[in-house]
Amino acid sequence: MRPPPLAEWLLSVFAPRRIRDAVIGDLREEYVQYAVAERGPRRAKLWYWKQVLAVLLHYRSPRRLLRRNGAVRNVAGLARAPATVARAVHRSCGSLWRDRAFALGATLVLAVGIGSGATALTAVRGVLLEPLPYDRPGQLVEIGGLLPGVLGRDVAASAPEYRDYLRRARSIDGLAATHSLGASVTDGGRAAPIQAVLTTPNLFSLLGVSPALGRDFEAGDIRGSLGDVAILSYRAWVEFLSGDPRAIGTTLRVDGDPITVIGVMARDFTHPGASEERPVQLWMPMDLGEGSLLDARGGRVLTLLGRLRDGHSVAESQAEFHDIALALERAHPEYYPPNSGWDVAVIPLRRQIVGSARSTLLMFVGAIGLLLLVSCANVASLLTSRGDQALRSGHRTPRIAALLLVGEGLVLTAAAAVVALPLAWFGTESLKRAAAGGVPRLAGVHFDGSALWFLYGASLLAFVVCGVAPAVRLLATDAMRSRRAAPATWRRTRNGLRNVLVAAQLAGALVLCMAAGLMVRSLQGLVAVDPGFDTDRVLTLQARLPVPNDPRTGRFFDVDRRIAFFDRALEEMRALRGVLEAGVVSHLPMRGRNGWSFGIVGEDCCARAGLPTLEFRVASPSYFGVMRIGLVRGRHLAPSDDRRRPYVVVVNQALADRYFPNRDPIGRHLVLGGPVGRRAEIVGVIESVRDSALDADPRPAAYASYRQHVGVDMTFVLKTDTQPEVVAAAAAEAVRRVAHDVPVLTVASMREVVGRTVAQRRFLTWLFALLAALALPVAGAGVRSATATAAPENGPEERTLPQSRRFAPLRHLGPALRYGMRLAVLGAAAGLLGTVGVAQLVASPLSEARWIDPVVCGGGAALFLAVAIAGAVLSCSAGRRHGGGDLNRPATRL
Amino acid sequence: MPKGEYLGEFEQLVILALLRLGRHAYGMTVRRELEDTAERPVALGAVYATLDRLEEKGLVTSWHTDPDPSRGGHPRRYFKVEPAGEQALARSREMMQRMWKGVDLRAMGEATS
Repeated sequence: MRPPPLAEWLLSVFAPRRIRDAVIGDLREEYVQYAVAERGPRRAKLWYWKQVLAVLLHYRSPRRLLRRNGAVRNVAGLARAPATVARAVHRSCGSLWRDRAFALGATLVLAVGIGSGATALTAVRGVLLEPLPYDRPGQLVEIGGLLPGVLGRDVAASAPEYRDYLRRARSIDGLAATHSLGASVTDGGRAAPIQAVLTTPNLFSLLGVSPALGRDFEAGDIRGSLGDVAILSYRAWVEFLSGDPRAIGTTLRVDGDPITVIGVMARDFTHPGASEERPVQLWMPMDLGEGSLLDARGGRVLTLLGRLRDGHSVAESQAEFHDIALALERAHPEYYPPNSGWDVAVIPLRRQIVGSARSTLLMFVGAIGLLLLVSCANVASLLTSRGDQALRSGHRTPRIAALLLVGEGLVLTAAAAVVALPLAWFGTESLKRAAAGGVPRLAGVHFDGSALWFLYGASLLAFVVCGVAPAVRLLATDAMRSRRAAPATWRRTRNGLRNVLVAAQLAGALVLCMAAGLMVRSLQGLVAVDPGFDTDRVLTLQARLPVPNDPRTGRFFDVDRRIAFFDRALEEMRALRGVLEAGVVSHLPMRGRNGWSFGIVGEDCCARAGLPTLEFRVASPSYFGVMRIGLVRGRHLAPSDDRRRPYVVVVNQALADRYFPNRDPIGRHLVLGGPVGRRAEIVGVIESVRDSALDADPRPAAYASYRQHVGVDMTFVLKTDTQPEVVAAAAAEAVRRVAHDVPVLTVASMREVVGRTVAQRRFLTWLFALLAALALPVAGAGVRSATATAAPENGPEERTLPQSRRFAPLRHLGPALRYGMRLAVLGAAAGLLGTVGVAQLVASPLSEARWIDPVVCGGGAALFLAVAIAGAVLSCSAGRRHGGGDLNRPATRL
Repeated sequence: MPKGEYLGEFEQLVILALLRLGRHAYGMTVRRELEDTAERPVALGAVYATLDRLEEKGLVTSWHTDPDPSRGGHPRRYFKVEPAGEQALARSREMMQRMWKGVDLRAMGEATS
């Protein structure tokens, strides 16, 4: 039950800062607690709107603002001073009203440019520039391991490493460790999935935030390795405790354990770096002392967050951690082999969170900037043409025509700014929905007061380009004329600005068009890639077995029970109508990594460059059938591969090619999980699948049977003979029938899972295509207008192309086309430079889309020429009608 | 006594609401108190505009609480009447009483009918 969002947003933007929070809070409190109950939902909304409008009227009415600034007395004087401009604006309104089609078109073109510009800046400010919502965020850093020879970059840390860093590092003031995991909250007999974080008790104090309700963690909260208390997110507090302020001290059952709620975080608090699709909802304290639950140097599951000590820079801290890494390498060579490239990286938290979205956002801003350029240049060129026609008609002096241009520019940009306001709000909300999950921090972006300032700034810029520049150019060319400069010179100057404006529109449109083409080709190439598995009619359900604080007390601690659960769930699923086959796997392709180091029995693996690594997966034999992953040699995993039989794995072709070139891997033994790991015999080689991204090569992988190596977090895959979504609810119910306390975390079709990996690229492609579709006709209109009113440099001014009294379109078609083509060449020259730059950003290793892509170049050039030609041809028929609006009417004075 | 030292009718009502509410006086409760007790429909914007004006005159003071999750993380702004506010209210009441002295509406009604 929330108040109307638009009304609340209006308050957050327009209410004065000193009362904003209190008023929004008061209205929300009264709306939730009284208004809905007393008035009913519909009338409560009306009441809310009335209250909002009353606040804005009291604080933002022009009369009050003038009175506040003591300006009432001066208004009359001010109004007299710019009487000429006021009259010009007044006459411009009349002129534009009579030429409504032009006014409406120009306003919309400008509004789209200004509105999208404000949207882009809002996004950039919110994601890249706005400080993180923590105390002194510039001092926060993430400390990650680098093991490029084994596990790659951004490796998590282990508890002994955490203790080492804490003991040795002098450049940091505090260090918190967190471990994310899925959990279940049992609520009324049903298990609800929840994203939880185990953390050292100092996380919130390190971030400089405290719970909005209740208290922070204390050292005494931990008994053993974990605590039996929790702090909830605002969302979890509303979901599980109905937002009850007296809920502190309530007990929730998390993974079967009774956990006492001691605090609730504020609504706008987000866990650093947490996914916006699955935000963290619960924090529980953990101890990382010696002998604790996670105390294994090789068990790297912790994310470390540090605060730099005052006066220390990231570079100094990085140097110190590099020395610590060297010391650890000397002390524990078995965990940090000399050729593994072991090091520790200190990365500013902001870069860690938004780094990947930076290029996407900059491309977005570039595209929007081009659209703003095209729209401003278009309206400026149209106004330029109107000014020319007014002069040519002989009814206006240059000064009056210039003043009218300024007036029209002012009226158009003011109208566009008004129309742009809802467009910008709508654009921001649409962007958040379209790019949801793809761009970190975007969900928290709001269209607010500072975006309004940008909107006003962009409008002012648009006014200068659209209104002032044409007027100045008109007066300048007239001055040249009166100084008796050679006619060709002043005509060239007069046409020069218009040509530049039209060429700028064409260049912007060409860059957008080519970029859209390249991105479509790139996306086409990407989605055409065969991932190596079947995505058609495959449903996936992620389920997690609950693990209590003391795992030995858990219902699924016994491995046989886990196997029995998965066996029964698979049976239930196979029995569902519409399901052809069901399988289960520990890590679904495109859903994260699970890198393990391994050795080959009988070979010195460390002699190679870096330790060998593979992606380790646990699967049921039926998984390969559901995903249609074919067998290359040997045999698949079999139902008989259980705990009584020798431990076996199948490996993929990528592993066989890399580690057994020209040899048969069947029958060879791997040691999984490092030098002291488990021995497994290779019984088969299967086809490789692209398991991280469509444009990444398959990594070496090994699969063990779920009856020999069963985990707690597994994903069911179901092959269906209908749309997979149809059986989703029945499949989730089947899991609950087998065990009511096992939550289903996510349900998605395999096509969706793969689609999410290209979502960001798909979004950018659609955006560029949309902007190109907007920019091309606008540029065409610019060519049409410029060609229709161009003054030839070699002939008398009165006999311009289409304006001669005896109008004959065919006779003028040739010169019009020649002029249009000249503009097109100018625009293309500028646009090609931009296209080369964009192509570098767009190209993907797989897409083979380069700026010399023949389809894109050919298609783009053809479209571009078609627009320029269409503009020139239409100008011939437009010439007769094009009257210049009111600018041509006689007037003795302004 | 200068004109500026007397309170307008709505200002008096707002100060009275603050005194009635005591330590529970913030925007929402003041608005509801005026509606419930004075039986006068009031917009929150009018309440805040008046409270701001009274604070500028030094007749009331205000302070913010910590963000409150039940209000979407927004704080409450509590108000308290200063001694100067109580004196201004008393002066306004005395002025009105002086003016009412000797006025009989019923008698006036009979005289005019």
